[in-house]
Amino acid sequence: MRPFSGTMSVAGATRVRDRLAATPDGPLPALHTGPHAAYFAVERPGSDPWCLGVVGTQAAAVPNALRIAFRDLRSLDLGATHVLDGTLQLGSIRIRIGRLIDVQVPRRPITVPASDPAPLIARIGLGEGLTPYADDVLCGWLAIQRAAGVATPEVDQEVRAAVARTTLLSATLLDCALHGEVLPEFAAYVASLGTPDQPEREAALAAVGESSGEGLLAGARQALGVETEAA
Amino acid sequence: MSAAGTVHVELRGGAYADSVALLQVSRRVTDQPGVAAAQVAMATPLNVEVLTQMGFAVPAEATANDMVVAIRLAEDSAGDALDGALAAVDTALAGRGSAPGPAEVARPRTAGAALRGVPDALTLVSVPGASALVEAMDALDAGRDVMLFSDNVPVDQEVALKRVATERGLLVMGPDCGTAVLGGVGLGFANAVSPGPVGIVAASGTGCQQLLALLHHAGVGVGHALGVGGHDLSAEVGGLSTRDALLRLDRDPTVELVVLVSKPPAADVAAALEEYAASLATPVELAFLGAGRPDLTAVTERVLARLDRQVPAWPVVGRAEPLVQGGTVLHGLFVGGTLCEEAWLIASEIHGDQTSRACDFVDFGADELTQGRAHPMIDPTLRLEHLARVADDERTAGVLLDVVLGHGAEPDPAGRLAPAIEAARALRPLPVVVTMVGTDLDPQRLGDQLSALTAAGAETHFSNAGATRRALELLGGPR
Amino acid sequence: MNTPTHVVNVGADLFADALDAQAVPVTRVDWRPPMPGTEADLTTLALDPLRRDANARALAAVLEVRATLVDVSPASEVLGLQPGQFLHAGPPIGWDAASGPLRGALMGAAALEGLVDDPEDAVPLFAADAAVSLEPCHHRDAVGPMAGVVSPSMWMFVLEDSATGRRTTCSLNEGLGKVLRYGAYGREVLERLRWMGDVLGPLLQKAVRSAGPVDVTGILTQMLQMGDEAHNRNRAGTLMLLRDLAPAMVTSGADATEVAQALRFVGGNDHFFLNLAMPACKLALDAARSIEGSTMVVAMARNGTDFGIQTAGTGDEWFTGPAQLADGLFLGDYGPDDANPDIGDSAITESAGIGGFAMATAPAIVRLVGGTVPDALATTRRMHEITLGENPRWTVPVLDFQGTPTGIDVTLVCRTGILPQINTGMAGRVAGVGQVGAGLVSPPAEIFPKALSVLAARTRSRAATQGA
Repeated sequence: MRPFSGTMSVAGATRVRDRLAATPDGPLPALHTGPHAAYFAVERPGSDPWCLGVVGTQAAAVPNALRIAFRDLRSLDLGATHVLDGTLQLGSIRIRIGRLIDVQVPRRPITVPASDPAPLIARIGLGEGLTPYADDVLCGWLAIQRAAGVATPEVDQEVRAAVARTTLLSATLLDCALHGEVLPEFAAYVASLGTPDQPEREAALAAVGESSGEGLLAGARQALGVETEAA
Repeated sequence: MSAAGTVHVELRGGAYADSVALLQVSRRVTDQPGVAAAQVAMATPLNVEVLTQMGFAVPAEATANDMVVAIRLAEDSAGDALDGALAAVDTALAGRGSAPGPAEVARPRTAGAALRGVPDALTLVSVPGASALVEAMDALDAGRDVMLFSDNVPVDQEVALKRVATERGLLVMGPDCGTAVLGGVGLGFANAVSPGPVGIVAASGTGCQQLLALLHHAGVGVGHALGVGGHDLSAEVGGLSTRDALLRLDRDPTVELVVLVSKPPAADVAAALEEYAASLATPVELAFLGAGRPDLTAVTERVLARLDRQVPAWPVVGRAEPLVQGGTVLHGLFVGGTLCEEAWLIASEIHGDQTSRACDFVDFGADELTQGRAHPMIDPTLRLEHLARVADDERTAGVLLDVVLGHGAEPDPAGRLAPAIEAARALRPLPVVVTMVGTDLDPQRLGDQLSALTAAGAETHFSNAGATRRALELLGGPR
Repeated sequence: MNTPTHVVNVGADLFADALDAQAVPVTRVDWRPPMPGTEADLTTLALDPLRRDANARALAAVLEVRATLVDVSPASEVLGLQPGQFLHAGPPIGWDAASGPLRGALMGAAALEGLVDDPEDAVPLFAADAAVSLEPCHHRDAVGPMAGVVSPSMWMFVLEDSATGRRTTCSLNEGLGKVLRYGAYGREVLERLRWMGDVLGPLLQKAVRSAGPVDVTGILTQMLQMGDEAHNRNRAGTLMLLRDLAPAMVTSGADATEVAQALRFVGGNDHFFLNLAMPACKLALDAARSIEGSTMVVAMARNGTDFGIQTAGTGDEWFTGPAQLADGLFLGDYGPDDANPDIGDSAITESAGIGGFAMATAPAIVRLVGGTVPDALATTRRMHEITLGENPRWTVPVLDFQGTPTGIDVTLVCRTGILPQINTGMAGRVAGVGQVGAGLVSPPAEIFPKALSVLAARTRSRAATQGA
């Protein structure tokens, strides 16, 4: 059932809810709108801007997005997206976060050999599309550190310094990765490490997006110290 | 044209709607101009009793498959009030599940048809027991898990269904399962909780809900709570779903500790389960509730201890005072069966064989009181009426109530209960103690619920065991 | 244990509402109680360990059949039909219970065979059951439209499933108006029938034998995309058949006038292909007969008085109830009082997933039966609720090329109360009146619980003998 007015329930991560709640009233410029997903710029004085996603069931469920329970966003008034009283409005539809999603990568007792992500950091912003491939690789690398419980304070600082070079969405996803926040397919892949389900979960992750999933997997494998196939 | 004060009772065979939908229809008709009273319900024995008490004569040939439309017009109603009311009945009945417009596609008519379109859906079945297995088998035939809220499924059917599920590596949650949480999604009557390292396997809905709420409050999340239905641990069923559920949670790497909560199973079922639980990699806390066993709060505290987490002081909000004089009976009015039983067990520890003189506890969610009616977590009417009656009774010395929040429960329980408590206490300043089973993530706004109850004079506990002991304390010890 | 990405809710809306509020995609099933008294049998069948696989095999067997027209021959040769033996549409029936159109057709056939000179003289013969016998077409692996009467000298289409060699037959279609299958038995009816036996049949036989088998299943596949549904509309199919056979008819060596007559006759009869569609459907459905544990319908048939079904799992048993009156539009001055109850084996097309089941593909037919285009789409969609699967070859363009709903499941009919929808012509109640209209009709509901109960009894006795 598509509501054309009134309230619509979505699901989202706690941090998305909290950041939205702290956002002052005002319009959210659209960075990209498509039939299955839309991305908006969120600004707040004294804070870094970030990208809020609104995704349907067919789109990649990125951790910075609110998830809608149907497939096609075209019935929604995405051109009139704004914040009112700390909640998101899509035109006249008030968005209520009816379920909080756990977007944390699972903690696993995995060993991550020490590796230097400097080459990855240097490539932040290189590449095409909403999320450049190199950024996805770095996200994967960072998320594995978090899964292993490894803190990387210097790396984190360098990443934060470098994100201005890339798209707002990618910068937000890097920030999510720093927090250990991941796609459901990435979380499932990490949960499956060392189990018979691992090959299937790797394939499912690689299939996400056009190349984002492959990038995330590549970064994860680098972090795990797994031999990667020649490009 | 109809005379004022007219009573209209009609039977509609072949018409069907579930009890919650009929509740909404009844409300809408009652709101029509000129209508003094109205009830639209399936003619189950309980509903016929309610209709009779309302002054309607239900035809003797009415069966539970017939829908009764009963309307009484007000004395000063207009001539066409009955026509308007009947039109409102038809509109309201047609309004839900109406025929689609030309561009819309009709909804699927069976679980099987629905599952053809959806690759990996869980099926949730709440149709009458006689038809529940057929829908559940559609799910198993499609290779999917199923949750059966439906009750009154014969035991042999339950066993047959569960054997098929086990063979196929699928899970049957139920029959008679009202509560589940899967990866943060609440199914049936369930509370919204933070995700975390605990997995629950529960043969009781409100028992599960109490654990969910307390663990959430203690800052320990619950990843999944799997219901197995009220009969799974009987001798005949032998814990078939319980085993499947334990295995599922064992396999989930995010689950660090499993709690199995239920009434004590048949002896050999318990022994077999203990052996099975011990064979799993994940530690299992077996919580078989009953006389002399840890109550739900104590179970929660054990779980926290096993996870090396701090046990908080379970919150109490508001303050009740004992009656200065008069009254000897503590009335317990419960919507949660397990909460009612727990309260009774605790009362029995204190009052022994005098318990039934000192205490009168009613479970409004029990089968006899829910035949063809909505559950009290949705429709508080019966409980509120009972509250008014016991408040008026001089023998009453105190009242114990549970309020259960969460998905599926009514949107504002305190909104109806608080005024009733106030009205009750206006007659005599009875101590009213409430167990609040709910979290700050539940849709009902926990803070507002607590405020309303406190303003009405109730003392609210998060722990049912705590509330019960407090209510008994206010009553005074054995006389 | 994962977060559910979708939930199917069967029952109280409140659970679906709670899931909507959590932004979980939900499909709400519009559940209603099953046909009264069927709950126990439905449960027994749901638990039958054979059922799921048996139904899958039954459907697969039906879908695999390719029907080809291999011959045209008299019934006396192809069916071994003896003088005095008559076949008819629908389940078994005797003269006493037979309705006007069936009686008229039998009387005409008796005259055609020379048992009597005047068809009216056949009445005492049939009434006394003297030297005449009646049998359903289905019992001889045949089908017949409307009265469906077959007698020894009538020429039959012979269809074969080349993979197995199994065969079914059907008479040749006489056309519209005053024809035997509507119970007419006047002079022109008999003359036409004699011409069909003397000229048309032999010509078609030569053509088929020389041109080689005609791919009837292939024609059905194409005609469904051309506005035909193969029960009430067979125009494209008839033309494609003509295209396939005309050259061989011309070169058959028959007299040119006769060839022209035959071509004109076939070309002018938009229903000619019906008598190929029907045996093709029967050939496919017969592949599922005697699959123990299957709850699939293998035949729906009417004799003008009774409507009967047979299922894959109950052998030759017929489950019958009163044939219904169709609801639709009437020709000329005719009205509901003029219509005979439902008659004909043509419901074999719906049994195989076409005819009324494929209404969405034949928008033109919808107006003839008094419906609207949305009704037609809704009907085909509704038939998917009571069938086991879809036909991957026979697809409906306007429904995104979804396959036609195939394999009526008795359990699904009893669970949903949705009855198979049949598109049919209406015969006049009085013999010889002919067609009075066309419309929609369904089987009487009660035959499905009857079949269900026998299926369930078999399940129970199987379980008992296995000591389960």
